[in-house]
Amino acid sequence: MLEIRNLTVAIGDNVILRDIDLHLPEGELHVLLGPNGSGKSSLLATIMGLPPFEVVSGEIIFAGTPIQSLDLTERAELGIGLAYQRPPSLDGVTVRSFAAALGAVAALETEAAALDLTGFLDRDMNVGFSGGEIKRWEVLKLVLQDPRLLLFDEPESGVDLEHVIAVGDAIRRVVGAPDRSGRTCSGLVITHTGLILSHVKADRAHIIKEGRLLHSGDPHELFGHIQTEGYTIPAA
Amino acid sequence: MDWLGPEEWQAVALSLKVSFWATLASLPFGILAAYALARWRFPGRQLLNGLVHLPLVLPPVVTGYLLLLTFGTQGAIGRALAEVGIVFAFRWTGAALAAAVMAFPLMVRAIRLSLDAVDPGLEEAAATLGASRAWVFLTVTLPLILPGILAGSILAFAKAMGEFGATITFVSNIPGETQTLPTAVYAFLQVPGGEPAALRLVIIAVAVAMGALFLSEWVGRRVARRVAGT
Ligand SMILES: Nc1ncnc2c1ncn2[C@@H]1O[C@H](COP(=O)(O)OP(=O)(O)O)[C@@H](O)[C@H]1O
Ligand SMILES: [Mg+2]
Repeated sequence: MLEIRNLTVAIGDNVILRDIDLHLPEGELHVLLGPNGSGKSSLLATIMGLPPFEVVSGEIIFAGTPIQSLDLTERAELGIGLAYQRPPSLDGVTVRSFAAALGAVAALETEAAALDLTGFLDRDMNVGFSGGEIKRWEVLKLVLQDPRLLLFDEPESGVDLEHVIAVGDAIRRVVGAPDRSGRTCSGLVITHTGLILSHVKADRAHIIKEGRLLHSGDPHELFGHIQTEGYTIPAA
Repeated sequence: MDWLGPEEWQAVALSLKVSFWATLASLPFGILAAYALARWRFPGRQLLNGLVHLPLVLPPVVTGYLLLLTFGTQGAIGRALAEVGIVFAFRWTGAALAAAVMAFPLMVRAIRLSLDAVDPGLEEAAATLGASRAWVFLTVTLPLILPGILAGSILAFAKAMGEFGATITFVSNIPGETQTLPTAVYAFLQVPGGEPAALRLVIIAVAVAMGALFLSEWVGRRVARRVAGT
C-alpha cells in the first residue's frame, strides 16, 4: 500500500529526515514513536505533500504509483488523507457545511455521535474548541473524508482518557475496513503517549529519532521498551 | 441635477463611466498581478513589480505619451487592435485605459496586502481534502481577499476619477468623448467666466474622493478585524 524507500527530506538546506525505509502493507495499522522534533510530523506531511518539505532523494510509492512529484490535490485524489497535529480553525465554516463540502452528510450524524461531537455540528470549525475537541473533530474529519491511507498526527494528545477510547474506536473501525468504494484502508498513526495502543490493533511500530528510522517491531513490545529504556534499539 | 450645466453634467457622467469601466476591466488583471507577485516565484518577478508600480512614479504626461506611442493609431498595439475594431485614441475607451493604467498600482497594492494576510495553511488544508488549485482559489482565497479587492477597487475608482495628465496626453480633451471631470475643470479655467462651473466640478471631485477614501478605510478596517479574529 505504502512503500517508502531511502527517503531523505529537507526544508531548504536543512535535512529533516534521512534514509527512511518503511513498508505499510494494505489493511495494516502502523504507529510512529519518537521524541519531540524527531521528524514524525514531517514524515506524514511529506507523504501528504505539504510544503515546505522537499524530497531530496528516495521514493514514496502509494498503491503502486510513485507520488513524490505529485501535488497535494493529486495525492488527496489518490486517497491519502491527513489528520493534522494542529489543524487551522475556520471562522464562518460550520462543521455541518464542511461535511457537506466533503459529500459526507449522510455519515456525519452517526460518526459525530461516536466521537461525542453531536453538539458541535453547527459550530464554526475549531473556533473555540478545546484541545481535545479539536483532535476529535480532526479524526472525525478524516473519517468523513474517507481516504484509503489515513495519516493521524498525534490523534490522542490532549484528549481525555474517556475520549481516547472513542478516538481509538474510530481508527479501529476505519483502518483495515473497506472505504466507500470498497478498497481496504491502511493507517499510520503518530503517538506520543502510546495511550492509543490499548485501543487500536496496531500491526507494527517504528521508532524515529533525529530524522532516522531507528527500529521497527511489535508495537506493544517496543512501547514497553521505550518506557524503560527510552528511544533506543532493543537488544535482540 | 439642474445646478450643473449640460457640459458639466456630461463631464461628470463621462468620468463616472470611464472610472467604472477602468476599474472593472482592470480588476481581473489586478487580481492576477497581485496573486503572481504575492505567491509565485518566477524570473522577471521584480520586473513585473516594477512595471506595475511605474505609473505611480512616472510623470503622468510620460505615461500618457507612452500610451499614445503603443495604443495610438500609429502605435504597434493600437494598429493591431484597430484591425479588429478596438480603438483607444481620442475615444472614451482611451480615457478608461489611461485611468486604468494610472490606478493599477493602487489596486494591486491593496489586493496584495490582503493576499499576504491569508494563511497559506488554509489553502494547503483545502488541497489535502482534494480541492484543485482553481477551486482552492475560488472557495478559500477569493472570499478571504474580497475586502482587499473591494478596497482596491474603490481606491482605483477614485484615482480614475481624478486622472488628468495621462488622459489629456493620450486622448486629449474632447467634450462628450474624452472630457472627464478633471479635464473639464482645466478647460473651464482656461476660458473667461468659467470659474463657477469649475468650482461646481471641484466640489463634486472632492466629494467623490472623500467618499471613496472613507469607504475604502472602512472596508480596510473590516479586513483588519477579520484577520485579527482568526
Ligand atoms: N515548517 C517547518 N519549518 C522549519 N522547521 C521545521 C518545520 N517543520 C518541522 N521543522 C523541524 O523539523 C524537525 C522535525 O519536526 P517534526 O517533524 O514536527 O517533529 P515531531 O513531529 O517528531 O515532533 C524539528 O527540528 C522541527 O523544528
Ligand atoms: Mg509532531
